[in-house]
Amino acid sequence: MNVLRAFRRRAAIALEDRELNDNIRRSTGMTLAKRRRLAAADPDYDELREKVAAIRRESLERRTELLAEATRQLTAAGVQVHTAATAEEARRLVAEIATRHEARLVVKGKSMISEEIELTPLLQQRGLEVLETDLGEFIVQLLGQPPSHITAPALHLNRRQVGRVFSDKLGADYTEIPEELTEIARRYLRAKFLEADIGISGGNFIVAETGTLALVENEGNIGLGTTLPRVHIAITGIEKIVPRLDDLAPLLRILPLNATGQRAAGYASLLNGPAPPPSADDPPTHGPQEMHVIFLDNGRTHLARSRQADILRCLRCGSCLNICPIFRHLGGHAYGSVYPAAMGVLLSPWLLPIPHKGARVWRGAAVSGPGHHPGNSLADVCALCAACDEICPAMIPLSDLILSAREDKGRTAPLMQRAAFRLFGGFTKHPRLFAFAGRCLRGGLRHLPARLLAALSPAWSRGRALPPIPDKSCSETLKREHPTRLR
Amino acid sequence: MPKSTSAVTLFIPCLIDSMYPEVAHATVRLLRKLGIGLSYPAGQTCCGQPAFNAGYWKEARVAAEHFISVFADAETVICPSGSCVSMVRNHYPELFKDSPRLLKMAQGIGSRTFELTQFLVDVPGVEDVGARFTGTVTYHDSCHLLRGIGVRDQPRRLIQGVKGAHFVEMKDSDYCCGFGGAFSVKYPGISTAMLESKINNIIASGAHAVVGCDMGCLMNIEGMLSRMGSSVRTMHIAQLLDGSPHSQSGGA
Ligand code: SF4
Repeated sequence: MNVLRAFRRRAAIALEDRELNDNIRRSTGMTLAKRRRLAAADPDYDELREKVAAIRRESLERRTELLAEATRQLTAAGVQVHTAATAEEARRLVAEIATRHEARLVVKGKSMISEEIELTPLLQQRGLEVLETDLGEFIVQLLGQPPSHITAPALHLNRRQVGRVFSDKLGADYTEIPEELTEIARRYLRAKFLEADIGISGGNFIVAETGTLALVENEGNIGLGTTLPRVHIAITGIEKIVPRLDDLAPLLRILPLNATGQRAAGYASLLNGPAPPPSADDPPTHGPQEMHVIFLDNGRTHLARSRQADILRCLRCGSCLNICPIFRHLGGHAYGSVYPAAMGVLLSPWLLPIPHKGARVWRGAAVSGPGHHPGNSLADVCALCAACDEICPAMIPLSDLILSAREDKGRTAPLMQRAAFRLFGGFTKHPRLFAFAGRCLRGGLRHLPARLLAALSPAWSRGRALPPIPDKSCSETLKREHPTRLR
Repeated sequence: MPKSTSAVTLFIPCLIDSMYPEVAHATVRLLRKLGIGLSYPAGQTCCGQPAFNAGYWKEARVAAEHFISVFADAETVICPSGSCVSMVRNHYPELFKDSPRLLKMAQGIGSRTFELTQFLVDVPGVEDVGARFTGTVTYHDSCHLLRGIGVRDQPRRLIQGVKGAHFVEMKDSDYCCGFGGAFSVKYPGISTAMLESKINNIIASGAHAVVGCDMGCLMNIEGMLSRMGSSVRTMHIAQLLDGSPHSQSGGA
């Protein structure tokens, strides 16, 4: 229940924040408009979407086999493959690699999974400097905030706010011109790439048949972070493995179209293992000396066996955030998870909690106890408008999954609530009782003092007046006029 | 008894039955005017959607079984609510997936159940019902009608067929009004913020009346319009098409 209470508190704050509201609506609106134009202009878009949905369905069905195959191929290419059952295990693995290499500076490409496992605080505790290199992530890192969106981490900020952050935290001259802001970050980060010992990335997709790691980005920072440092660690969910190299073409087309409204991402890196050891004959090659892939489970296997399994088909495009009217009013931070809106509401409760001390405030009440508890789901935070169903490039039936999560949750609801619905269910098969309940409702609404009704749901009645209450239901009149055809 | 193809069976959702009977009466008058014979099974209650959406599927199943038994013999069921039709069409099969007999009945009834405007335009092919209205009208796409059962053009065509009515689109007409049933009660703050966006778009459209096909949304919208003292009228499409002078909800 803490998760819900924390959500309510943060949501109330977000609703009051005009600037936040404007920022979110402007950015999501822009991405949606670009996306809509591109999708509409592409005569094959529906076909592409079907194709992508089929690939992701297959990925989910064959997940165990694909994990084994990917592990084999990656290992053969000289990659050190690890599997982590929990976030804690994944963080330990990274820390061990860092210790082994006596690393001091770690550069990160935008990786939501490293946020999921809260990697940075642990590495910092161990004395490492950890630097985000994606512009948006860099900005929120300077502010000490988590990302507010899975593809646009600083979506909740406008350029004036970013200008202030750069002048406060980096001592740069204030500017709000986007190009100049990018340049400030670029200058600061460029030097760090050369010094870094370890580069950490996520993984958009991993191809099982070839052991290829696919990374897409727009800033070139991931390309640098995965080639310049001695060691590259990619952390990715076990659900990101796709069967064939051919699958990448549709995936790499649909992902940028939805994520940023672009025909293609600025850069796509296909990595196939560390650089070969230098030899006397060959010129030295690009790439890290050591490459690690960490496959993270963190509740996903459990989720794969649940009724919400289909959310594991997610491509992390962010469209269901951009289109969600609730997200557009609150932004991501209110959800208390790095994964907000439809995909997050479905995914987050399954991810294992991280029981470390001093959990960051934004996380609010961390989930207690290991494993999934349906009561912790924010599935109620949805008006079931189904706009996400319509947009999801993986064709995940998001609102149906949210409904099923609600059913799971219903079993843990307070007794009174369950009793009320039991009563409702009973009434629906007894027309007379049902009509009587309707009369009681109308009587109550008509005769109870308006102030009492308003007190029952103050926020509801602040914005809306109750409708005028009729004397009679229509069935009382119609029944007489129209003979029934009841069995 | 042979059934004439024009005979339809009316399902009045519980919200309309209990709170907006005038919408039901407008629906009846409209169908009569069009010469469509209708019957009204007195045993009908609720499609079960409130329980289903709240996660109480067992209770929803009770309501759904009752619905199926009441409408088992109906050739065509008409309902002036997109969201209830979406419930019957899209979610009954899920509720009865483990019971082949009920599943078959549910699928059968689903395919014979129509939302009012969907029926009028798709079945008898009516677009001009001979109604009149003076003023500018805008239309709110309710989520379940639009995305649940794919009804977008039918209500627009019917509105455009109303003499004297000038139709204008509002911005983001397909954007949720924030009702979402229990959602608006559980999260009134978020719901109100969503509703404000909708209201702003309605007012900016310059329409005298906002028309919709779901009383849930319209109750929400009307609630804020009337709290604001706005002169924009909220009308169920049956009321617009019925074209009667006392067609606005209000005179309880
Ligand atoms: S659930 Fe679908 S729309 Fe949402 S992020 Fe994943 S792929 Fe994109």
